[in-house]
Amino acid sequence: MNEKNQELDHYIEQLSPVWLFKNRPGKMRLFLMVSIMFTGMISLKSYGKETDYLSAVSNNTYFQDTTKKAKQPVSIDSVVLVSYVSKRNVDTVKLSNVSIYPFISLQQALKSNSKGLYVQEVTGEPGSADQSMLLRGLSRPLLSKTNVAEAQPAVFINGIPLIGDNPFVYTIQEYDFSPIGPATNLLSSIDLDNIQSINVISNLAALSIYGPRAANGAILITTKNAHQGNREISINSYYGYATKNKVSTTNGRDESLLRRTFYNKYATAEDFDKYPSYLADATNENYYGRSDWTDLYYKNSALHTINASITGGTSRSNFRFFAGNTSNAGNADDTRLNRYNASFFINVLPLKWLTISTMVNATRLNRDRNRSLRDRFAEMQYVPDLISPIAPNKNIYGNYLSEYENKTIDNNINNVIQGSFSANAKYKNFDFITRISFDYNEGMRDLFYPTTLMDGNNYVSNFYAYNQRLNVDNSLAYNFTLNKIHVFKALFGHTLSLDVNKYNYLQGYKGTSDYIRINSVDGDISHSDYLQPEGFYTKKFTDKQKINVSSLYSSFDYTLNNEFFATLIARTDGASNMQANNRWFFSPSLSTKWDITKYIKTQKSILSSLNLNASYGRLGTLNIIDQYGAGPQYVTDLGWSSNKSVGSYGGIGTLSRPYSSGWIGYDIPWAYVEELDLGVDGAFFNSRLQTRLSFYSKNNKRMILGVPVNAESGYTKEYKSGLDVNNKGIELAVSAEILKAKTNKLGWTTDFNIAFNKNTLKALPNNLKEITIGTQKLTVGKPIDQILVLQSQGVYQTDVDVPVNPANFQIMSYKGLKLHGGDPKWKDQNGDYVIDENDKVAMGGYLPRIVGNFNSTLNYKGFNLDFNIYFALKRSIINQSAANQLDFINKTGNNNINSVNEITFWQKGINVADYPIYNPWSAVQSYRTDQDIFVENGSYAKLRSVSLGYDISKFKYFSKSFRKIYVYASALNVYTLKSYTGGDPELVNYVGEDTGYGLPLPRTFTLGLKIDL
Amino acid sequence: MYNKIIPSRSVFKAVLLMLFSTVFISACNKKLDIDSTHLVNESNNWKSLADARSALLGSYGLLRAALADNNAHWLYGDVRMGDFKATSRLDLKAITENNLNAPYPVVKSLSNWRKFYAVINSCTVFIDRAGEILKNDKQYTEENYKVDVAQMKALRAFTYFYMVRIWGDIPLITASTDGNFTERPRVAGEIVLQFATNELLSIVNNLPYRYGAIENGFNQQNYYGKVAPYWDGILFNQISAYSILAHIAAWQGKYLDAVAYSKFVMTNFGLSGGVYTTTTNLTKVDGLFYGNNASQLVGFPFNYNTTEMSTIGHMEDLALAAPIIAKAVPQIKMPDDVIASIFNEPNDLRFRFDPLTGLPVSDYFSGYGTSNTVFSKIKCIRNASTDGSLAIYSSALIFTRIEEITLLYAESLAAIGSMDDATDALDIVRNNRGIGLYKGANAGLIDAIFAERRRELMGEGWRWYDLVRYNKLKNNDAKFLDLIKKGGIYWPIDEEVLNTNTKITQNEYWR
Repeated sequence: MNEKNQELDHYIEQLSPVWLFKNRPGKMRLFLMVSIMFTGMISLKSYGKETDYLSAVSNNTYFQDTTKKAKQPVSIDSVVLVSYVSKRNVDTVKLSNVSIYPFISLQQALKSNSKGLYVQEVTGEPGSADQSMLLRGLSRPLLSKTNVAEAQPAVFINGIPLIGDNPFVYTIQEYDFSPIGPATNLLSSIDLDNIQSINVISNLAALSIYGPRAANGAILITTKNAHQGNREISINSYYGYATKNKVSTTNGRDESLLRRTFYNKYATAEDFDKYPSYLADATNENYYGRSDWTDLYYKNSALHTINASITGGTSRSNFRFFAGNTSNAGNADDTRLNRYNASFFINVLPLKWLTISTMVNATRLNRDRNRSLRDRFAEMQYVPDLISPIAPNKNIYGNYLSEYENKTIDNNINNVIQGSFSANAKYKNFDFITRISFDYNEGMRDLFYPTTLMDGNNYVSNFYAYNQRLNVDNSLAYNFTLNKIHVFKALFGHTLSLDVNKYNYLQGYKGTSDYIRINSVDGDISHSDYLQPEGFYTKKFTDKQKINVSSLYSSFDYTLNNEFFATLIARTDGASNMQANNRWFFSPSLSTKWDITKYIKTQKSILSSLNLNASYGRLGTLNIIDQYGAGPQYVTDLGWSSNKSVGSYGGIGTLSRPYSSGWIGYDIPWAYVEELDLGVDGAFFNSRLQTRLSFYSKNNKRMILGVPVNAESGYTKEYKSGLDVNNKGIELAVSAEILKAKTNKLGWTTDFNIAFNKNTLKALPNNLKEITIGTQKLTVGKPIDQILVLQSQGVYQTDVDVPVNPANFQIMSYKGLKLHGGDPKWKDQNGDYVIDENDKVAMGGYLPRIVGNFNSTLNYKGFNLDFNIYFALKRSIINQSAANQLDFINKTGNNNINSVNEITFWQKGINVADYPIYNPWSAVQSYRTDQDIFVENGSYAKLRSVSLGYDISKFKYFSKSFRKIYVYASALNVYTLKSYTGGDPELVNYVGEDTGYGLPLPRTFTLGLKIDL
Repeated sequence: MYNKIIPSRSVFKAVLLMLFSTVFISACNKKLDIDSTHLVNESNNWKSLADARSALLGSYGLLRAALADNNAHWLYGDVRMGDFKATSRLDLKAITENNLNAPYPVVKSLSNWRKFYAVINSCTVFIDRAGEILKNDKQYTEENYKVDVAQMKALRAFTYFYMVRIWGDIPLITASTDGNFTERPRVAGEIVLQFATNELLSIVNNLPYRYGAIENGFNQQNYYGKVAPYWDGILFNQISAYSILAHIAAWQGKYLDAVAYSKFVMTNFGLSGGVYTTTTNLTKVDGLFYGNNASQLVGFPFNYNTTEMSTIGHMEDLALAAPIIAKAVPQIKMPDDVIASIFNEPNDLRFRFDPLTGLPVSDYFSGYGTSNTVFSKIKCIRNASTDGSLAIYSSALIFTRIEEITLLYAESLAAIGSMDDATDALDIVRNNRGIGLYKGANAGLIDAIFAERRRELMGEGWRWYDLVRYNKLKNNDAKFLDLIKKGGIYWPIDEEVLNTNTKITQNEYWR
């Protein structure tokens, strides 16, 4: 962004027909073509030749995928990750319970189906990037969206680590509600019908082979792969509806009644004069008339998926092709995500000892976004006059929507492609694997808002970004067995991973007319304004970031008597975004398992097996931005409120110290995480009851925190290493086959997962004991997600009710501001007659201390009934939405982005009688959210999904030609049990605030069919 | 057939070894050395002429950001206990009523001096480091270096002066302390101002009258490749430095010095290209305030064509409303009776009642007499457009212009008793604005000068500081004098500042 480096890349021509992967670097395209041709050729050559091919995958895991897998396909992409990596401490998601529901993102699919994983959805808008996952608690305080990105687990598809959008785009954004660009969740690109298995790993020792990207956990996705055998065809499809919400609406009269309470009690004549004009006139039909906007806002929306795959080939060469289309809809504001998938896999064995595999997995995402005012103004980085909200009347709102439909352009497209080319050579006990793989995705947003949407201004913006990760893996494994007692496996490997994130962004304001929706430039080289924009007032942004990681690792596996197992992993990782003298980090980890079944004398029918697990792991954590690696630095930092991105003075680019973002010094070491894990796995009653109990204590150490420094230095903060957070927890998984499935008998299986987690701040940089950053206070020894609030004890009726300090006759104040009648009676905890931060008490945390799920499946004669309950307990929500309704004076007075009233403003909200009536004009801002009246218990349990299906292939007529025909009906988001008075307790932002802006998670019904030929 | 092709063990090993070693060699540290594209690290800076220019302008830009942030310059100067009243924003209402410890985000931000100290640090780093460029880049001349350092010292002195006006006693930091966050106590404002004065005097002769112009008295006829009028109103020149000196002296009550400094400006400002502004030019959309020009003796640009314009950081953001822009009600407005009482002389070009019709005629206000009087003296919308549908402004922040210095000169003369000369200076401005010569008694001269400042400099961030100097001079308003005595004329210090520096305590008045 700074002028010095601001070689504006050739700006791609916007609004031209968007080619699939048009900007993919030539190198990669070439690679792809060559690799496909190469494998294709060999494939042809060796077609028809038969030799033995043995499945190399070993399964010693309890919680395995229960989907049918006649023959495990061999994917050598995942050989590194499957056969040479101990799968102990890996949890497998029951895909059969997941793939039938219309889950659009990986987060949604995993939400109620895995152990110890907490998924946060901020909105029900399909495909929105606002979804996050946390495994085993919160590793760091969430002070910004960058911290949320830093806490995400790594996702691998067939061993390819996926690259997501980098939060560095936020540096040019005034408001961080969603990132610029399509803001689509890239993990919605995965089609669950194309997936063979999903494993969730949270144990650090098990993670350590995956390297520092997996320091927050890993999710391993294995796609269905090419395998030998008769040609297999599968077709999956469902159709359904997201049903609309039933809400009660309000109009001007209701709003006026609400305000009347406050006006009658506290308003001065002057305040009455400023009564909002849209409410002042009770004859105004737009506001006081029918409130029927919901007809246009909430709708039953159709959704569907259809996909097909074909697999076939010989043992020497085989292939799989998959193609699918999915359309997922929200029930509000016409939101939708369309997905198109295509995958292609080829395995070839040209030589007995050599296997070559190629995979290409491509997805296109196309998102219809919400039409909220807030998101529009945030995108424009411009807030117009907001005095009157949109009228609740259907006609008025309909006019507004028709402007959107007819004149607005809002194209949000993502293309995602993963590919790999790998070769595996086996010779005697050696096994060599080399693989080149990449994950590439690009996001585009072309946007045009017509003049009619805002005060005669139009707006155009074009965004293009790509993220690219190229991996080169090489590994050599060696096995040997001694006396059939000792089994050794050794693995050495190296991975080089090259990341590039890049974006171009152009905003254009105030074009000449609504017919010109493209930001064009003067193309005449003889003109003085050659290549200058024509018509629009433009701002350009571009940025690029490269991060390379080089890792050397080794793993030693030892098995004694098939009874005692140990794995030692040692690795050293170097990252380009670490400072040169702290570039490499060495981390060892050890995990052991002892099968003690035979030492316990019980009947085999009671105890089937019992294992003890113990492991210790350590892993460096990567920085996802590159600033820290540079040490003291100069950046462009001239912005101010609402003009964050100004970079020049007098038309010339500038450089200064990073005063507003913060000082970065030298000697920043790798942050790392270490974890001690103890567990017991037991199987009882002929393995019909399986349990896994684990305890962990995870320490994230030496993390970087921006520590506020003295303002006289000019810096807001100094980035210092030394933030330590501990997460302790217990996880229990129980899987029971209560009634064994037999023909003509009722079968019943259940799974129950529960995870308790508690986080504690262990240390702060500079040996500080506590620190206040923005609205969050971090105290050593306390949870990092605690919500601190003032305790409200009612309201001071008159000025004389306000207590006076008998020591110095000072009237009780809020931070020096004297309290008056009408102000809240906040409890003075420390008795100093000054209400301030020291009078705040903790009221829970914004993350649940307990999460879990309960899944149950009943089988009877081919019928299948499945339901799933998800719960999150011991968690608090800040009801900001309620505070906003009560704080209408400040909200409208400020006219900033937080003052925006969406059409949902006309939805019945709080009951005023539940809240004390403060003076909303008071300078103490009586309805501030940091008080206990707005903090509520956010525990909830959801009956998340129910499905009923029948396997028609039970009929003889079908069973000859079909392997499986399964028809089913499903329902999603069926019922919520909660005490929270606001909306859906799930829809809160990353710091536990219910802003009321989230679109609902719809109740969705589908009918589906799965056919295997 | 190919089953037979089994390589010998040694070949296989050799292949493996080769593969491994190539990967490792390529993957070594070399791949991990990447220079970030969005920052410049320590080893790559202070190498070239361009680095000097980036750092120099960066310091100016930081001060612009500090003054523009939340419209700080106008909230400090025009809104605090001034003639404007807040409409619906309660935080602005608190500022008009001097309730500066009301915990509104904007009020808190205005109580925090960090942004100003960023300027101090930036200037200091430049002064300490720019010398390195002399060794590395022959294009960077000794003379250029001298001018640059002089500017940074002037900018630092100005920033200190600006802070002393707001907080009184403040920490004085004169050496760069990067990476070393020692807590420093406050020192008396007088000491800070003395430092600023000494610094300015030490470098004032190193500054040209005009950058990139022949008449600057220097060898360099272009400055960083640009000639006049490019840098006018963007950089501090010798006139700017003397203007600041005059203001520091006046704030200290050293009116004798103020006379000398402002006299220098009055005599030489023409060399910088500045002129007295006509009333029309003052209020035109593309007049004095638009873009950058030489009459902005100390100014900060927000130009359209350099995409530095903004919504916040302008008087327009606070004061404009319909019919000029789309917003229905301005954030602040001046009551009609106040306007009438301020513009109480006939024939005032800025605001007057037509003697025949009795109707208001004004370039300063729109819609006088309706419920929506809008202060529209400054209205630079985008590229001097009259279409107010997109409220982004390009008006410069003018700290001082020649009319302001003239009135300061008059004030200083009056303060030391030179009433005739003071009257002459006052009359320059009065004549330009159509209200003719001052005919009142000498006793009323100071009042007349301040009344003229109130009219002429309305919306330029002066009213509050004028009130302070006026009351110090007149010494007759007990309530205000009490405010001065108790330190109520200063802003409270934000708790974030207090929390991070144990050596600083809250101003007595705001405890």
